Amino acid sequence: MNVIDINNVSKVYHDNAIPVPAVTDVTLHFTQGEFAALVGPSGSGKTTLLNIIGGLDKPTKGEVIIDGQNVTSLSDSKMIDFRLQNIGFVFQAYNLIPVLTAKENVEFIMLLQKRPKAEREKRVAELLKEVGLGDKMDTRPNEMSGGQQQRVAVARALASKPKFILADEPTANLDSKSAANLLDIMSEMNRNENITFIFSTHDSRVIERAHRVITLTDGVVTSDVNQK
Amino acid sequence: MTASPSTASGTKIIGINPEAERKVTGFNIFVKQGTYFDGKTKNGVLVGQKLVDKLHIKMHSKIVLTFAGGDGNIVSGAFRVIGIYKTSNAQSDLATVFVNSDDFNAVLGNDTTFHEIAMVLKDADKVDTVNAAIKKQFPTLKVESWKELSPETVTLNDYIAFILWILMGVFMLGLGFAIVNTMLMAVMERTRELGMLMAIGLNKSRTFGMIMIETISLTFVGCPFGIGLSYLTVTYFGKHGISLAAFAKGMENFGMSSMVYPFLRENVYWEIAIMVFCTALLAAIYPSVRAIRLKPAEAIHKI
Repeated sequence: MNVIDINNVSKVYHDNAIPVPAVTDVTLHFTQGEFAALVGPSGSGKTTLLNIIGGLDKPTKGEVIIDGQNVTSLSDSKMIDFRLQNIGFVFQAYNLIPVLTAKENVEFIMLLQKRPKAEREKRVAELLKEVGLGDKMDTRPNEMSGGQQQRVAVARALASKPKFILADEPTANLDSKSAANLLDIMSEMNRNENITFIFSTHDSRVIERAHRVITLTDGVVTSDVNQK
Repeated sequence: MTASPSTASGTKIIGINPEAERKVTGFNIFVKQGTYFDGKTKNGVLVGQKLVDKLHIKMHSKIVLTFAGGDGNIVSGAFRVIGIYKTSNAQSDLATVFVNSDDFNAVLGNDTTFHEIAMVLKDADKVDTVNAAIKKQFPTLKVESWKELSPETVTLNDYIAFILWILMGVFMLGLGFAIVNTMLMAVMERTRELGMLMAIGLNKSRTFGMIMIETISLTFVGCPFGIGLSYLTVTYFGKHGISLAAFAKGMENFGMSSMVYPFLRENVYWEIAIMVFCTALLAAIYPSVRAIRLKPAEAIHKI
């Protein structure tokens, strides 16, 4: 069964009443455990598509079905709740809350989910250890490198036990070593825990590691290749 | 009438019980030269500085007080200046002299007679209650509170209270705008952070609540600090006074002192604190609404 079904999705923005198609008639399906990358040059629509999958934006046409639920028809407030319970996010930058420590940032999601304290503490410790930051639990983001911050962001994305994780250019601001480190962690989680990762990227390092590469050009899927 | 060798002036002659007067009105503090009824000098009189200047007299000068007796006959008595006083009411200083009531009654040929008894209450709010009680107990007496004796003071008091409420409204309006500005800046500066939070699952009610709680927290810090500072200021100047010497001449004509001693009742501080909190809460609504209207997808990518 597919985790995500994207059926004939289009998105048109209006810039001073001039219609600007960002995504046109995209149909894609993702199963559990995929490690997929949406690639294409700037303006190809990959971030827009990722936002639509994650419910951060609504398509002009078409539908997105996640785990059997049509999320396109959900209200804004219901979509926020849906994201909280089902989708993890890793952004390019400004992932973490600056005044909270690494532990508190990861715990934040579980607080929103109203999970009990004991469960939160246990999971936070496990996740930070898994991303190699067990000794940085009480460190604030401004005391960490970019790579470390992104690893905390991955831990936070996993904290809510999502069905899949969407990562928008997660390696864009990282040096090659940090980027490789981050991708190792994500690959391992994908392999060991069967977590689906969908990246929006034009980083060749990510593309090399992806099992499936979906190329967008001018908002249209021009190729969909399994590299696994 | 008060007459000196050179001239005369129409005056009010008030016979006082010196000790009672000292306790109730503290008039003795206004005596700048001489003594306040030391009990040694018979037929002593306290004269205001303005009247001293008008009558061309000085300490220990002899003056003649002329007044109507109880039977309507004109009575005169010679008195000696034992003290010169100066209050903040120049007109009153010019028009009033004080003698010992015993000396006064002796000249009149009366036993001890008093026309007026003045009372000062410890609690100004009890004036009306005490007034009514005394009227009831002594129906034949004319009983008047300060409000009846000086209705212009009541009017002035009410006017000042009205002006203060308007001023308070202006201050609260200013405060409201300042809070709106501060919290709006906080929301705008954190657009990307708020977008990220909403993307990962912070719903609108929690976002709204977050901004409101931040505002309340700021108010919890600022309000007590401000009230503490104002309490210290009012207490200090309440003890030492604020000198309005530049306006002394004009204020004396109105019978007002040029030294002002501010005073605020405790309940006023609480009222101000409540007004500040309410203003802060109202002012935080707009920034909170702006925050929840952010679209996560746009906010995250805002430059």
